[in-house]
Amino acid sequence: MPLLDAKEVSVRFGGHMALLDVTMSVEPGRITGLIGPNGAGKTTLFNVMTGLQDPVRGRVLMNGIDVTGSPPHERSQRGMARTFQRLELFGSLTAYENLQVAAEIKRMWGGGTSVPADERVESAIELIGMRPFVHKRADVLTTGQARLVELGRALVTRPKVLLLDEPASGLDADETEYFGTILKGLAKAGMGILIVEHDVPLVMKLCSQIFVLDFGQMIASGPPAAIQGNQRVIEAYLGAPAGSGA
Amino acid sequence: MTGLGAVMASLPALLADQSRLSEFLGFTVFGIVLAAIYFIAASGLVVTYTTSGMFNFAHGAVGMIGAFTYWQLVVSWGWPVVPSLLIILLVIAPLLGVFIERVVMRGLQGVSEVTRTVVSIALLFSLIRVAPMIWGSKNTYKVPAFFAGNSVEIAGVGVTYHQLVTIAIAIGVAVFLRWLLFLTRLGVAMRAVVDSRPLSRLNGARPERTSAASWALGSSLAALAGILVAERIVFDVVALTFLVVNAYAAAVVGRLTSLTRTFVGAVVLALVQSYGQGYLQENPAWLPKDLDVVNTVSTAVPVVLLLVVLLLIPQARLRAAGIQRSREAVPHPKIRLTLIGVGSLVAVVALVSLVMGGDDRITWSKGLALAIIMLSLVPLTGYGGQISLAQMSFAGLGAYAVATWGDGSPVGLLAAVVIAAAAGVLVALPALRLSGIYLALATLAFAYFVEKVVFPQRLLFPTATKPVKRLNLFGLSLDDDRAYMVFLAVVFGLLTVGIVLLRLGPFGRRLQAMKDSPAACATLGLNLTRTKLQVFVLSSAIAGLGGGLYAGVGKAANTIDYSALQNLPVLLMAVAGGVALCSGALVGGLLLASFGLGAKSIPSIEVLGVDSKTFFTNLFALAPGLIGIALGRNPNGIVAGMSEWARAKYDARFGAGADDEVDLDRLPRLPLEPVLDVEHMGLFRAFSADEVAAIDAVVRVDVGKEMAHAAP
Amino acid sequence: MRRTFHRRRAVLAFASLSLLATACGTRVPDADFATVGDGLGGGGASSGGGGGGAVASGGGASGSGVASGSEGKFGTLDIPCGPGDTSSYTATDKGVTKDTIAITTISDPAADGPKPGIDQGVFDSMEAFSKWCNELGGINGRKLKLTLRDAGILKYKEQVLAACAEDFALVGGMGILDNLGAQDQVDCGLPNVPGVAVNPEQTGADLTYQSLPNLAWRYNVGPTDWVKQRFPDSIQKAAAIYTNLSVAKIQSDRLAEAYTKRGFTFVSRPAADISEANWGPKVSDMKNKGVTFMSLTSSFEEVVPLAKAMKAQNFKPVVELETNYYNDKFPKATDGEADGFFVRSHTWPLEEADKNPAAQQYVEILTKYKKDAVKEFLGVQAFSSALLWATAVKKLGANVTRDGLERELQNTHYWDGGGLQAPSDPGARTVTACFVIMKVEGDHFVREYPLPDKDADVYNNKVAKGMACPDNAFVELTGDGSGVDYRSLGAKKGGTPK
Repeated sequence: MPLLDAKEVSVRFGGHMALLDVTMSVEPGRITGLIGPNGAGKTTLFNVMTGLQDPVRGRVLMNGIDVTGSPPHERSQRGMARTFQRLELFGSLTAYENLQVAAEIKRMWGGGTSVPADERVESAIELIGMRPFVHKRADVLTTGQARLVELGRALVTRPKVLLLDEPASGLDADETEYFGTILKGLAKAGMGILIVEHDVPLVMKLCSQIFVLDFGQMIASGPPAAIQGNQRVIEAYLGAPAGSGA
Repeated sequence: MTGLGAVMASLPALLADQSRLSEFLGFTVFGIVLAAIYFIAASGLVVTYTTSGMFNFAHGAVGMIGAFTYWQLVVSWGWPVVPSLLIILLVIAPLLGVFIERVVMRGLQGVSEVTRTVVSIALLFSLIRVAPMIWGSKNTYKVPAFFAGNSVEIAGVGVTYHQLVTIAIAIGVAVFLRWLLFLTRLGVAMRAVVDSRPLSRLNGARPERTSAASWALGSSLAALAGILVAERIVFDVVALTFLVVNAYAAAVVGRLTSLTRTFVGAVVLALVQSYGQGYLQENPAWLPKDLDVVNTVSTAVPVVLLLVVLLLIPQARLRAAGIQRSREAVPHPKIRLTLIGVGSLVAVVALVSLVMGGDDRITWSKGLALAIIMLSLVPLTGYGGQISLAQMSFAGLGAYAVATWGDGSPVGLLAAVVIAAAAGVLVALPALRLSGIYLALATLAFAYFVEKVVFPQRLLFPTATKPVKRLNLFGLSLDDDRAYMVFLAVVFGLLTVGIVLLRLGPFGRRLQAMKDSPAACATLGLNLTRTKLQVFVLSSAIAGLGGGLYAGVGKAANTIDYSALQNLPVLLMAVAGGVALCSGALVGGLLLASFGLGAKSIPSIEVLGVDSKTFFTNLFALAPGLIGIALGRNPNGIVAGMSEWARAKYDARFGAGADDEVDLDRLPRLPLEPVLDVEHMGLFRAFSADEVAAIDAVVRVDVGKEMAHAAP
Repeated sequence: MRRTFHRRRAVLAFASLSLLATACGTRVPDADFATVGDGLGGGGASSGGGGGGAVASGGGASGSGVASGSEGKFGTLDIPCGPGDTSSYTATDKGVTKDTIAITTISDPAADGPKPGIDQGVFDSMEAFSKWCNELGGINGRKLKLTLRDAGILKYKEQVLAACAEDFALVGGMGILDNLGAQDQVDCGLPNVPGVAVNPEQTGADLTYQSLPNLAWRYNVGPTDWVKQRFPDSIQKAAAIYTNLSVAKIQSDRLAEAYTKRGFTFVSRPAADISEANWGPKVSDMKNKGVTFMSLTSSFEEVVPLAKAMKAQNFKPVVELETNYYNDKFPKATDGEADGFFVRSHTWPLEEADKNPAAQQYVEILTKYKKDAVKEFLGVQAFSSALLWATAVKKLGANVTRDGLERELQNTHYWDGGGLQAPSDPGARTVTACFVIMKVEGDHFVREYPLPDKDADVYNNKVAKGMACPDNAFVELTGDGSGVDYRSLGAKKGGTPK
């Protein structure tokens, strides 16, 4: 049973279709990738899945339950968490407080455990390795540090499915590697992870399943090897060879 | 809406009865005339919003200036009408708009919506205070209607030529704006600038110029509305300025961006208002004699409609907008410092109250009570970033409660808190889905509703003032003004401590998080509406308490103190003092109460033909407006500005201390603007004719629909 | 005797000021609420006799008797100001020294108040009075030290408290919200001879004596009866409009109750918005109902747009308005739309000041000592009150005390300000019944009733020549259902307001 399903999702912005009949799913314990050229609609799809955008057609399911009309906070309470392409940290709070807020919110809607908020925060800090900068204000962190904080914040809510929107953007090679290691660990622990990325090599390395979007449509899906050789994918990224009328 | 209902209900009878039908047609004609005025007024608002991203509260004030200028040219100096109109609409008003943009709006890059709103309110204030300085109260003002007020009969009612001209102008404006904004390069550029200034600059536009053009156009439209309406209402500063509030509903129907929908909104609003005024007269017999619903509501139709329209707007989409780096900083309070501050305040007040004169005691006590009311804005606006223009109205309800149920016991204050909180729930539940400016308008509509429909009820206020008994605290009477003043300081202190504790705790963190990124909060599972509701109700409860205490100062609950417009200086001064700081509320409140004292002791000396006392009196009257405008410079308010200045001095003297703990508030902020501005590099190349043609071809495509989705 | 309705006027004043709501201040064309009987009405003499802005047309008015400035007389009154030998004087009470008497006048024209400029005429008049009196020598030699305290409407209490600390008495003032400070005034023993007392808390207060007293539970129906007599067919379908403010509604209810008791039938009682912009439907509705008589309870500026709408609809009922409309800014703000509107007045028409020496002198004094003064009824009222106060103080000689002042005022049972106003009884606080009906004609008022030729018997009555002073001119008002007992509201010594 996939943790998260998008079924024939279509989104219209003004005069054009940002997404058209997109279907994909996220399985537990696996890292799924979503790639495509700029403007393909990746973030839009993310927004639909997390509840920040309503589709004109199609459904979103979590563990088989239709959540298409649900607001974001309800989906979160069902076990979804996400990070954002343009960092959405709580800039005026420290990194620690960013996680603390998440933990306190989690406690508010039950979450079903009696783990105190502090403990959750601490374990996330340890897992991510945030200790050195944990008491700095979020808006003075480097991009790399900020991305880690966002990840930590999402993890504090113990999600079942984690959606990451360009988490490696702005990271250098070492940071990216580090990030990947954490994600692999989380997937091994059973979390389902969906990652949107421009860094195609990273996606090929991390993901066991990849979906490719272009101009709002799913043009390919499959394991990395299959995607790499896919002609349509190559054309989408590099453009059609001259004379083919693409 | 009841007017429309009455009409619907009686339609069959209407159509059957000739005279009833003609009466209905007559009201319809009046409605159409009114709609023209509303549309012209609202269109200026929409233009300014669409092209500057700002809801200009001072719009009506510019219209008022236009009307007075028209009087000056046509009546006072005797110039002919048409040239005067052209000069005002094509020269004077646009210049005023450009001046406003340059002096006031330019400095507002990177500030929060709260600050932007408050600055436009400050501008409103300033214009209202400046106008009487130019056009004193000694003259009688009137402007002639076009065509000497002659009228023609349409559908059985008299319509003046002036009104017909107004309708024609409204249609002309609609057509002109449609053409300008959608079919010309300038217009499209004007709309592009608001989406992304840096981006449009990089694409070759000159945002400064189009910004100026936008404000010029908006001002012109405002002046046009002011001139056209001047002959049919009382010609004074306030009436001319605030007529535009009636048109807000029309602009909101247009979602502040669509002129077509604004037009429709204006027509619907004006028709409903006309029918309401024509048909609604008798209260139903079963209503108690002192409760007059029909007459009061019929004067409040525009704000009732505004509330209804706001309720019908679909929920604002949560948007992920990146880290909101605005220039406002929310400082981290320290509990120890707070306790010391509060203690000192009480001590100082206790001392000072002994030596103060009786009149000053009242003035400064009112200041403390206002500070308490302004405290209500700290969690709501300072921490939560929500705008409320109804705090004084909640305060008024609190004052009513204390007057009615007080009788000296704490029950009165308790009732004040409960009633105000209940009203807060009533307002918040429907309004909190809305964001930013819509919430501000919803609270303003509520404030007007309270002023026009609630306060005039003789059931509540048999006379305009209700006597209030001061609290009798455990046998200790607070009748003595000195005791009461200290009591106010103590209450302020307790509330401050409470708010600081709140801020340092989980709720405060959540509020800040919500302000920084509502989208992230939602995806963490936070029910934003519930949280906003909680803080709104808390805020209205504090305001109610403040109102009850304020009434106790003068031992009277007077509805004028809590009228709709009184909400504006409260928000203005709270933000000017520093809305994220309790000390800011103190400064704001004390200043607001004491501005009038400023010129009291200045002697009257003639200097260069100007009387010094009058000059300073006018200056102090203008002060709140000027301070508010200066917020563009330092959006954190007076207290923060002063402490920054003090800290800088301290550091210069003693060197930045080696703190054990890094002071998080003093870390450098990331720059807001791109480090190297394209314009600073002196790069500019005009488009060639071919490029222009290509752009035009693109522009004529349905850019309009693309842009539309950027509406709030 | 002129009958005045301070309560009503005040209430109307209230209406205006509320219109402007607070701190957003606005300049309002001067002085709207004249009324409050007496004296020279119509600030600023619009055209009509006496000419232009100043009623004073130089030398004495011909033909009507006393030339202005007869030796030692202000109209028919002995001028209370004059020189004296202060060498033996001492400080006999608070605010009184060997050489000076400190007094305060309170009014509301603050620039940052709800209605900047309002009632400026009160200050101007008192300033002129004080300078004039001091030039004549003061009162028995003690010079007046006048402080003008501006309440800006909302801060009346503060001004009273400031005066409590320093002054001997409040003189000639008018506070639109004087109820806020009435108890404080009584508590600190400050005598008050206001130009106008507005709210019941003040009109019924101890230590308060007006030159033209008023009562909240009575209504002068002299003008009402005149309408009934002149236009008997009009009273069957009457309309009383009011601005949507509690004060205006209260006042309109009083009007409706009084007129109904005199035989009028009201078919329409609509409320209008402040600064109503859409009078069309209401006018049309009244026209369709066949309304033949109309009155409006509001500030005087509001009637101008209404008159324009009435003209456009060709709606011409009999219109009779209360005293606050007797302000020459009203006709000046119209272009003939309000021609034929009647306005009642309880004061001597300013247009005929040349027939009244006290009025003449008043204007001369104003011109001499405060040449850019605002001319309005309230200023005249203030002046008359100042004379009343000064006359009482003069009788005290060297021993000027508050108790003495109170005693003298209590024993003053005839006061006409030298002819400035109709006779009243300040000590017993009774009101006069006299009135004049003025009519709007173009940009000024003209006298409508009583006319010296057509209504000679009424004109030449013994009480106040030139005004109508009927017997049986009052109705007692019983109910507006509010449960408020106006009679009990006055601030009393040793009490707190209810």
